[in-house]
Amino acid sequence: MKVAVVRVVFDVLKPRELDSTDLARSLCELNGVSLVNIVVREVDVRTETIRLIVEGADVDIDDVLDKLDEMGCAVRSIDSVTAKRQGEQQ
Amino acid sequence: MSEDLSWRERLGLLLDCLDATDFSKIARRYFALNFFDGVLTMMGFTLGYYMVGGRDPHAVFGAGIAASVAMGLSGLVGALMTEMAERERDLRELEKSLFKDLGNSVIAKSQRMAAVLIAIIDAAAPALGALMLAIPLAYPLVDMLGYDYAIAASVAIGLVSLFALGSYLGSGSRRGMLKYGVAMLLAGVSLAIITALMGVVL
Repeated sequence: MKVAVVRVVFDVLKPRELDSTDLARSLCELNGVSLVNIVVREVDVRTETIRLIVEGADVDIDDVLDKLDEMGCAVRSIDSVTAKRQGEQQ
Repeated sequence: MSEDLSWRERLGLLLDCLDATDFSKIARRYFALNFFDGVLTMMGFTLGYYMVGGRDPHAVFGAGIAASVAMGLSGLVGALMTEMAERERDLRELEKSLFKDLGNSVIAKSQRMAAVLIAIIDAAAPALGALMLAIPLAYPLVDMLGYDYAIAASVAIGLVSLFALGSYLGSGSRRGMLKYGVAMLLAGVSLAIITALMGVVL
């Protein structure tokens, strides 16, 4: 039985130059990701603190972290992770 | 799917970030400023040379082309160094705010891209403005136009391009295209009068 991560919540600091929509679209392009939700929680002169929720059938956290790094975002913490055993009948 | 779209996605993202760097506003300002500089410098040079009695078409054309290239190179190097330094400084401040190295991030790449594109615009604008005025000066060299007419054509092109530049700038503001166009045109006419007076004095 494979266990897959289906939901991760990140606390992220992102540059204001980077549009939230662009960030969400880029993350949604990752394999295994089907839904991205960004909520701006705090706005500073140069940065924004966001709550980033990534959902999908099989979310690779390292891929998400790499993408966030490429986009110039600093991950402050991973606040929540939801994993699911695949193939189990409910 | 993500592999196929990767380069398009990256390019699109880079362009979006480029937009967020105020690139278009700065580029438009640099273009207008330097195109104006290029046209006025070349017009001043041509008229000044003519008014002090210069009648050698080779000299005015050669020096005009050299001045265009010099303005272009000066713009390229000056703007590239300035923009790179300024954007590097902004990036360092952003890194301090994020507590993170942004060396290979999309933000850093878009800042570098913006600096290079602005430098190219800064180089092309004055060179283009000056070259437009230098082109008619080549006609006397191949006996297609008299020297006096070539000078007049060069100045006329200068005045028309100044009016066009003013109109372009005015198109984005509330004050109107005509007002800006006439203001730019007056700058050109003032220059013509000043150089004519210099020709009389010198």
